[in-house]
Amino acid sequence: MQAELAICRQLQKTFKTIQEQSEQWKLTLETCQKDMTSLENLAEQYQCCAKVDLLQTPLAQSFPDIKEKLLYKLHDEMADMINRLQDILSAQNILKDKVSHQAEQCMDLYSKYAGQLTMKKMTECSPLWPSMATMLQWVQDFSRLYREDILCKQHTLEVFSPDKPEAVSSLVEHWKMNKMLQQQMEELLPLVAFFQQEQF
Amino acid sequence: MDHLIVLPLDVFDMHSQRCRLGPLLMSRLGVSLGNCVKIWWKNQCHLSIAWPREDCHEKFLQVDGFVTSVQPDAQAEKLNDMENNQITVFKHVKQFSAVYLNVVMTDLDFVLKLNENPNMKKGYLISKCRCLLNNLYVAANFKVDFTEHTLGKLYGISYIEIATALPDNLEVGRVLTVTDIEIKKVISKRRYDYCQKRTSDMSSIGGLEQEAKKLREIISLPFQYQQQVENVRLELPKGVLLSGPPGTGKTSLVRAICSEYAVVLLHINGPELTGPRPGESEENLRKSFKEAINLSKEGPTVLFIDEIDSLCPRQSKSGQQDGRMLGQLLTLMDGLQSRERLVVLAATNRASAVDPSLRRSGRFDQEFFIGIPSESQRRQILSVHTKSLLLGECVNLDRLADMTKGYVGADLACICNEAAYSSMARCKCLLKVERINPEPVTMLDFTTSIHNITPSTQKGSDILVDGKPVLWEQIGGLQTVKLQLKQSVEWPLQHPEAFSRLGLPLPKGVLLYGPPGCSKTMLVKAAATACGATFLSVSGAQLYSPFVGDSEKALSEAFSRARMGAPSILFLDEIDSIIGKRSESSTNRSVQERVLSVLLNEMDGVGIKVEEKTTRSGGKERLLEGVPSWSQAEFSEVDNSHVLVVAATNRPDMLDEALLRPGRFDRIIYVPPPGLEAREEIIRIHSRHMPKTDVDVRWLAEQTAGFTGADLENLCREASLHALSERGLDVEVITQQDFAGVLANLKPSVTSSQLEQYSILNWRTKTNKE
Repeated sequence: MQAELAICRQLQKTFKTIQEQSEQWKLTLETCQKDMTSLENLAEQYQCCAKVDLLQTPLAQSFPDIKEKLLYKLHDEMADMINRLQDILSAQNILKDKVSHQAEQCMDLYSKYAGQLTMKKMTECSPLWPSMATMLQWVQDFSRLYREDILCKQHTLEVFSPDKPEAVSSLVEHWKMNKMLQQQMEELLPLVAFFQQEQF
Repeated sequence: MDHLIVLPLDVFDMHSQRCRLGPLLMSRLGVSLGNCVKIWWKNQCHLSIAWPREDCHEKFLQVDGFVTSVQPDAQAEKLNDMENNQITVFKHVKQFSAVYLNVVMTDLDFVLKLNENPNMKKGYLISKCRCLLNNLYVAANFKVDFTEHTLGKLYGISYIEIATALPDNLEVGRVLTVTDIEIKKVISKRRYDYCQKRTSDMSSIGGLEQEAKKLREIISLPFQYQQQVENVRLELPKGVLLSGPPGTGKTSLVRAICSEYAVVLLHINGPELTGPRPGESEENLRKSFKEAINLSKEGPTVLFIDEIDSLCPRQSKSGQQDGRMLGQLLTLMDGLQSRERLVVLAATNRASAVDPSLRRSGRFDQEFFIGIPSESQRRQILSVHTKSLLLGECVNLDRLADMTKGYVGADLACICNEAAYSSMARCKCLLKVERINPEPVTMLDFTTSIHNITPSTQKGSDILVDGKPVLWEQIGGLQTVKLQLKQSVEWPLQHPEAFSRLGLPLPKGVLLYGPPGCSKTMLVKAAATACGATFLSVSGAQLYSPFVGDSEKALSEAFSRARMGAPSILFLDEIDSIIGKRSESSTNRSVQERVLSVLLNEMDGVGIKVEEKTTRSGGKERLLEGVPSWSQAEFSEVDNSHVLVVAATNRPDMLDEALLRPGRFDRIIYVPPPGLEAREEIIRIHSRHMPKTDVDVRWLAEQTAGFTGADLENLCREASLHALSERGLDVEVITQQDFAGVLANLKPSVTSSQLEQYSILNWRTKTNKE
């Protein structure tokens, strides 16, 4: 009984962190969408600017090095933005570590008491709560998906280069909420609502 | 022991390395949640994390191929049913201290870049692999499949193979942040997939050892001894052209050799390249070459162009086809550098249809001809195909090889399949249950399937005849003719070794002549049945066409088919109507004369086309039994004689003298109208099924002097009709009176003056011979 309580308490704690963290992550990503649009726009400007022959335009007479300057300006702007996104990611990374740590603790706790908990107990569920096995699985899945999501975004930032349209589109694409993760959050978290209210 | 049903994983379990088991099974196995389990299933060994099924069903096991063994596991080879004892549990798994990885990447260019740049390989790839492998349970010689993994796709990594893992004593371990990661090899997915797929090897090819050896040298030398080759500045062959009739195993040979040496085989199909827009086909060809060259930078590669004759047909003199495709191929072939480690192979079944500019040295330097298999080759092919079949004791492969003259490898494979099917169908009828006990394939299955399957060399021709078998016994009388025919048709085809032992040249042609209705055609049929050779029959209808040159071509094609299906009998019935006599008076040459010249040439010409040559090493060996080795050269042309031309006519005087000389039709057999004894026998044969009382056959034979076989058959028919019309439809027996009544009205169809002519001719041919 004590083992079960300990795990349940840990699960409650983890779900709480997940809840907080996922809401925050969602918010962050929503705010990032604005940046994404402008980043896309800037990249397009950069590509167009690189393609156009500015020397043929009247502008070039008064400003002969306008192309380099423009490109530099755009590049600078984008680099700023990328840096900002990097910062967001590193903040998220810390949070991610917290979640994975807690998820690991759940598993550790379980393996510690595995001898005392029968499989029947683990797979037993009530109308109010999912079974412990299921909850453990959700915690694991969430931690894994969250980690992958962040790694994906990290990779797109790494390979970003303004003159490669596919890298830009891949960045924009991946900086949305991961579908699997969103599904987990929206569908599974409400299922543990009663479990969360329980006092152990 | 419980029988488990294996299902694929649910979507949300993908890439979590989980496998789903029933909770009861888990407690029985002593597994708790998150324990590592090894599952043997369908040739492979899976590493998974045990987790109970949410619906707690015990009957199912869900597992996917996320982490599996690299090599098919010998232990799991035959396990198609899932049982409990195929699951092993690992508790308290420790982490590996170091793992050495082979990384399979999707993008070939990226692989080349990484191989050129070791630093990048180290830094970039290691960090990516660490991200992917984090927290997974792995073991040495296992691979992790990232082809459908989001992150894997983004990184361009398809598979990660764990080559070795330290410490050695740990069978299964985890990859954690403390684990050292080293990259051993980076390979492209294309090459990796190809190497994994290597299903066919040389053991699936029968009877092509010589060709395989030569091809093996060409393919493997540049890759194995690259340094030495560069040192001596040797120009390596760039291309090899394989030619031979369809179904002889050109494509399979290339496949087998490539998989033997783990060479990537890039297959180009002619029709796949051609596009609707101008220039598209050439572009596709360029693309294929570029891809091949790219792949060859990574390792040995072979570009295989199948059916090259359709891609680059010989340019006609009129210049109708544009040779752009050919031009492109020539340019690409010339542009190949020998250091590019790429060998271009091409296959065709009509080597003469390939443009000669492709066949010069420097492009396709070497040409291999793969002919129709000889008897010993067929024996080998059959043994390859019957390896997996359950054979009955009665099956004699040597006899089967002997029976399948003119069949190519594909046909033999088809025969084996057909035989297996028929044996399976038989047991289904027999047992009528779902689980069929395998029943051995019997010789009967093989012989029926041989009868059902036409050899592909003979397909599409309308000259192949599959008539009702006629036995010698069905022909009455004519004992001397039968003996002569046996000597000249049956013996050379069935016992060539005896002929060569005595230095006896095989006859090329046999002419039967005699009055109409004396069973000349029947005799030939009986001879064909007796010797079991391919029987081809040419008639005037198939030969003559309104187009100039068509008839000659048809006859020459008939000969080429006969050679392919050798040993064979080519039968020309009523040869006087097909081929006339060269007249000295008329100046304009008729079609018949041209056909005659083709026939003369084909029977006794200078040689045969190279394409029709067959690799008959086995046949030669058989011929040379008991012959001293010095005479080998003499017998090298012996193949041609396997085609025996048999002609029948009733107007021998209409035939050209050139045809009748020895060397063409060297046996001329007169089939006379039946004598007294023969007539008696013929009447007996024809009235075999007729109910008759007190009919004196001897008397009938005496009365029918000058009657031919056909006349006698008619006599019997008329007699039974007479009986029906005279005594009503319910008559039961035919009597002597019926025969006598009919006999009064019948006259022999051949007059004695005609017979005299034949006998003059008979005498003439005899004197000619003397």
